[in-house]
Amino acid sequence: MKFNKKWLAAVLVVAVVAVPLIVKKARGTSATEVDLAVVAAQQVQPSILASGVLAFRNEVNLTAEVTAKVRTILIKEGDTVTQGQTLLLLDPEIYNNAIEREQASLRQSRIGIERQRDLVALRQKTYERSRVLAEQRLIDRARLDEDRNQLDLARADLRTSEESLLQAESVLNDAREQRARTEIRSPITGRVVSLPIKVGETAVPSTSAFAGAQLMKIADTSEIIAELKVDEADIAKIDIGQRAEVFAAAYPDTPLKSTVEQIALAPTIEGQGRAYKVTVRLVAPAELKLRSGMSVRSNIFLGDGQRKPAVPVEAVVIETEGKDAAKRYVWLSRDGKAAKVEVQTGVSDDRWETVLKGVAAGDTVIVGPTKSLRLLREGEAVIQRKAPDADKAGDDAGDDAS
Amino acid sequence: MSHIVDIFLQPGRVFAEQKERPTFLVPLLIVSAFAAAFTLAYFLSVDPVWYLDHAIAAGGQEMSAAEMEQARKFMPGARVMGYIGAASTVVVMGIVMLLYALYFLVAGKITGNAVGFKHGLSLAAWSSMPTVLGGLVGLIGVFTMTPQTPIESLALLNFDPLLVELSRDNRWSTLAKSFSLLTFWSAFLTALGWKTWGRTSWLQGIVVALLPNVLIYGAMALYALSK
Repeated sequence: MKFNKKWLAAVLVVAVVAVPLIVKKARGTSATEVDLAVVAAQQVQPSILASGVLAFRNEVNLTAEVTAKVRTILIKEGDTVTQGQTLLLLDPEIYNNAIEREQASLRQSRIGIERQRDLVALRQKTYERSRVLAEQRLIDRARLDEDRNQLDLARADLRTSEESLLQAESVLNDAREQRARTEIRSPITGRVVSLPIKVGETAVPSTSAFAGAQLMKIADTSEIIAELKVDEADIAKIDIGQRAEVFAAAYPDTPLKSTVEQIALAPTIEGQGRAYKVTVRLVAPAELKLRSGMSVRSNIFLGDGQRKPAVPVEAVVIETEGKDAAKRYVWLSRDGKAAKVEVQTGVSDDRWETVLKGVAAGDTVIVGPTKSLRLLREGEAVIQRKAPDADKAGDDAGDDAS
Repeated sequence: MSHIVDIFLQPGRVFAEQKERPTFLVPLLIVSAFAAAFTLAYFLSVDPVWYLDHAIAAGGQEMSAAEMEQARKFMPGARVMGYIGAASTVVVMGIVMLLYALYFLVAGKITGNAVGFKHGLSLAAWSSMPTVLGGLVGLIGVFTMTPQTPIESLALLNFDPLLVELSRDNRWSTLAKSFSLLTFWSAFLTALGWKTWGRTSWLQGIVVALLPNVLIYGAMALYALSK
């Protein structure tokens, strides 16, 4: 019995020593659990945000050119009008009076010319007579000169009168012009989007926004654009032709595809900063009821959207040594071992950072967790960790967040 | 001495002989030697830079590279830790043995089986011989490990890492990493020794043997539950 017990005990001793070592060997060397990702071509979309308003392509604010009371409005808000169509009639009475006045003035000028012609004829005759008499030495030279002078003066007066006639004609044309301006015509083809003026109000030529100044607004509604305000810090990255996605306040989940059309050269002062107006041309589906003046927010995409090799942003480790420029590294997993590689990065957005040099598509890069990434050593064994269970997930989130 | 082998193979005989002439020095020295050797070997083999980073991270705080440099300056190097660790292991072993002897003294008084202090010491020392196996496994582990191995993963007879592998954040992690399966063997030996000397029932022996363990690990379990 003792013999068996002894052997049992001996086996136990050997087992106690051997089993754990075998188990350890079978399990393999402990590897640090990390999250791995494969470097692949990704669509990196760096973008900037800008807000603005929608506008119709062509919007014209009509104001009167003459001061007059509004007599008739021939259209109503929402009407479609063609170029040249009469929209509004102002009271032309004052201008009619002015025309009559000038016509009278014109007639007066003509009469004046006739009078002058008669006078010139008379002076001519007088001079002729004087000349004959002077030749016969019946009158002195002084008298002849005087008559000559009178003739010249009369001729000059005639010319003055003729010029006055031209002037009177011109003034008459002016008056006619003024009267023509009491008929307001549409400068473009479009729709009347705003009609603040009423019959009986006085139209006043002005660009200020008080009653009577703005007659109406006509807009070409066939094309809608968005006028975005881009901060001066970002404007240098915007180029004509870049794509943008515009979200109207009325349709906050519908991205409208658009293209940058125009970039302002001069800024507008926005509170403390300066902004530049960027005009984008929209492609608006017909079922959306978009209106001029609606607020929009947009993402203007800076890159060309082409696929480039990129790594998740959290994989890039930045190290600064004193005053030297920051160096960027990623940790690669080569044959299950961690390797630190210096990289050169390009454009990035909030998910991906493009890598220009250092890694190639197909390499496996270590992306997390953050704590492990910081403590990794060159050559350390790494293995993809299993999806964290609920217990761990909370802890890990806590780690990464702190 | 044959006792050293017999404690594993024929423990009953060892305790029977110990009853007449209790000894404790030999097992105490052997147990301490293995524990100290394991600690020293580990710290001399581990990658010192990696160890410092690992130890700082184990502290639980997130530190920037600059802060870690600061901490590195204050922490002793791995070799120094090895020497300190080895020395302190020996001292701690001695103190634990003395405490156990005291416990056996009190237990003896309570149960009516008088146990002298020297007997108590002998019982404690010989019962802890199984930990030598743990030290042996650990030493083998040290000589076959990669330089970036945490010391906890070399205690292969502990609950963690033998049966489970818990992450540091798990509340049971500390308990699992501290509980050695050899405790059962040591408890068996204590019970056997107690029963042999006092001619008591197995029950009494087991209770006496397990009580300290229950108290200590029970407290750790309660703490873990409270987390």
